[in-house]
Amino acid sequence: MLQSKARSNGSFYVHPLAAEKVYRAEAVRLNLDRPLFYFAMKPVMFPDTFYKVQYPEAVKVQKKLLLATGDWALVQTYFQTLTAFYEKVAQTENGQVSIFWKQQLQEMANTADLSVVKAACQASDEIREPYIEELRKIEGLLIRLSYQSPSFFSWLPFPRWNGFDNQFHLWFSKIIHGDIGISSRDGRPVLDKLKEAIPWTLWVNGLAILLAYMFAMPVGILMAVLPKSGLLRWINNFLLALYALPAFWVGSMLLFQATLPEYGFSFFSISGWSGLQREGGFLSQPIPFLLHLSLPVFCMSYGLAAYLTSYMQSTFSKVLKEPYMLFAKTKGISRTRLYFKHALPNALLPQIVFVAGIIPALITGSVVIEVIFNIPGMGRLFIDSMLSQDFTTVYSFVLLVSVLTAVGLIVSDILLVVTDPRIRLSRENRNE
Amino acid sequence: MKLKIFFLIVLFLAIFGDWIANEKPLYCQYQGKSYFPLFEVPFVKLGWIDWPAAFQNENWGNVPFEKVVKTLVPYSPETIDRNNLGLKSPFAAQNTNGFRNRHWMGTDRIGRDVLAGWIRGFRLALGIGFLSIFIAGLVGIFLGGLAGFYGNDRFNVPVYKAFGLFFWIIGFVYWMYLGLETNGNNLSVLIWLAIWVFIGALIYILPALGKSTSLPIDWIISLIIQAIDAIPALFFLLALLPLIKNPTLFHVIILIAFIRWTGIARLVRAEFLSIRDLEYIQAAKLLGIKNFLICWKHILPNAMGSVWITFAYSFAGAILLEAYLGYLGIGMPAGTISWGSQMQQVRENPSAWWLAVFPGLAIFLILFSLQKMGEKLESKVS
Repeated sequence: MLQSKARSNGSFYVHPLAAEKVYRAEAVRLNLDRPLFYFAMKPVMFPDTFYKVQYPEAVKVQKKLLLATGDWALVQTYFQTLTAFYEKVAQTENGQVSIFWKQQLQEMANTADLSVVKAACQASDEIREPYIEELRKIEGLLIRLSYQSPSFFSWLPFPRWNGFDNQFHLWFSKIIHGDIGISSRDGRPVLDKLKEAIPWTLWVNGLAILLAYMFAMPVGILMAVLPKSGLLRWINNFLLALYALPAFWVGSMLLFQATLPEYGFSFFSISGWSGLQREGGFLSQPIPFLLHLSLPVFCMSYGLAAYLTSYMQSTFSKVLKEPYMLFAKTKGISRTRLYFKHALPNALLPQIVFVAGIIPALITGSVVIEVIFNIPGMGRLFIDSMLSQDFTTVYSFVLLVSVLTAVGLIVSDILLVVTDPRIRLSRENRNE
Repeated sequence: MKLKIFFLIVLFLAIFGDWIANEKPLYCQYQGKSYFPLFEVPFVKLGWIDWPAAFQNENWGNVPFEKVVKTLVPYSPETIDRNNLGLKSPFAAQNTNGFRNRHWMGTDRIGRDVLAGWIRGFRLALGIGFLSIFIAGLVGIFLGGLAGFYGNDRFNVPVYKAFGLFFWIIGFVYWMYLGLETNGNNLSVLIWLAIWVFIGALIYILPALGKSTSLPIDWIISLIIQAIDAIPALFFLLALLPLIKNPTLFHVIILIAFIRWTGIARLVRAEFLSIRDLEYIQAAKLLGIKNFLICWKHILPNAMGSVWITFAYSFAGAILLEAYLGYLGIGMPAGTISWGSQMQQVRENPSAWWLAVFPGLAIFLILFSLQKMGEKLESKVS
């Protein structure tokens, strides 16, 4: 995030010794100029204020130098000298000489290897002459650096309390207040972007679940009730094949074969999503809206439908074998009453619980479908943000999805208890 | 039986794919000398065999051989056929040297043979699937077994040992980190590390004094499993991949394993929980057999039946995940040829159906047969 900001800050190239300033200004703006967490454990030789170095390369080099010398004050003096040298070079435009020193300084700033730095200082007297003071100072510092080494006990870990003014605290308190941050891609609040995207994902997933259940319930019950035969085995195999058929394959084939006018299917148009949204979506023009959604919803639902059908079949036939079904049968109840009054409620139980459990799998599947069909839903937003390194959005998104999943699991647990009085959540139960 | 034959074919393609589709001939005669270029590559790299300059050329199709026996598909996945650039259909007229060199599955935009890439896809999918599930299986069986066998109240350790172990692990991570940061050549850090290992050994050896406490090991592992399961697999993978600077296939394998071990661990835990109190285990305990041996010899073989089923399903999941990554073009190293990356090209060239049909078919067949195998195993177990 910082890197892309620094790059877009006017020029493409920033000298490593000038970058620190740019980075620090940007870090202050983004509230990143504070420690990471409440506490940190670092060797004794590390200063409290190490987090203040912002430029990643500088952090790397200074850390290495510190570990090699163990003297933070000296390392800082060294870097300040380099920076001062760079600033002087930048101010006094000296033609070839200043270009030469800028290059040498870039090399010096990017390495913790003192011999490389020493070699970079070497040049003919003519070129050294204008900056001889700084160069002598650096060479002096190099000698001091090379003679320093951390004492045996300065390696010991030292826990430090960073106080409440840290990045985690800031981020977490913002999340608690409902502010999940600002997208670093376009500067809009992430919440707004998510609000725009969520309805699409809900539409696609909701319709897919609905469609799948509408197919699975009757077919599953029928398959459980029908006598076992070769046909049934074939249907089972077909359902298994349907389940194994990757949705993104079917999606991409459908997309290119079924939306081309040459095949006569042009009414399954898949462009113009945002137009649909602007004009009010489903309420204002339900038919084009549903036609738009038909292909992605089909791709999402067929695998789910196949899975649910065989699931329904197995649960229903399991219920049919229960003793109370035999009892009801011997009482002489009619078939429809037997199936719908006695068997169905018991067979539906696991199905209800199942809905909440598949939410994460559905959201995962909808990522690829949304990318294929170009639906501006959550999945595509996620991929787009990831490709443009908009991590604020990415991680808010992961947070949201994981909260959704957790809520789904809790809801399924509660549903289980509500619908089945035999289940009690107790300590013994959990240990079994 | 049919399934076994199918898996054998797939395995064969995955292992020997490079000998089926390769631009290097199996045998050739050049300037009166015989060569076996396909098999000689490692020896040439070692300098044991010298190749004529014409062989160093990139394009093997242009070398004027006197006699040549080519592989079944005379192209490597990376070979660029400059005569057939820009999506040649399998049925279209192709500018190739005879029937033998035809592109049976067409070419892609930059003239690579789709069939060769398709065969390479087997190795990639199976390799990633197998390795990640292998790692996930190791981790899952170990942690799941630990959680299931000891539960919350059977992992008894003295209080000071529990605390000592906790702090020792933190310290060990700290010293190892410093050791890596200093490239292992700082004497003080190495001495500290040795001291720390010595302290660990001391904690281990010291007798169990004082009060014992049970570590809630089941609770800890279940918590970790729930935390990982809370994030859908693909999101987890996509959110973790950008944290790696230059992702390689190894990273992808490790990450898939990291996501997939939880399912295996949960199952193993449940199996161990139900088996650990059976009478024959109690008898084994009374005989004084060590816990590890009880787990390894007596519980695990009985638990493996249902674990194999999850292996089949997890394997299918891993292959699908790999295809997703290739299709989205994220995480895989640039230039990797997989089924996903072949299908991705269809997004830019809608009319090139052959780039979608064949890879998709391979994914479908493998997933289907894995599901079928899972189903069969399931009926066998129950």
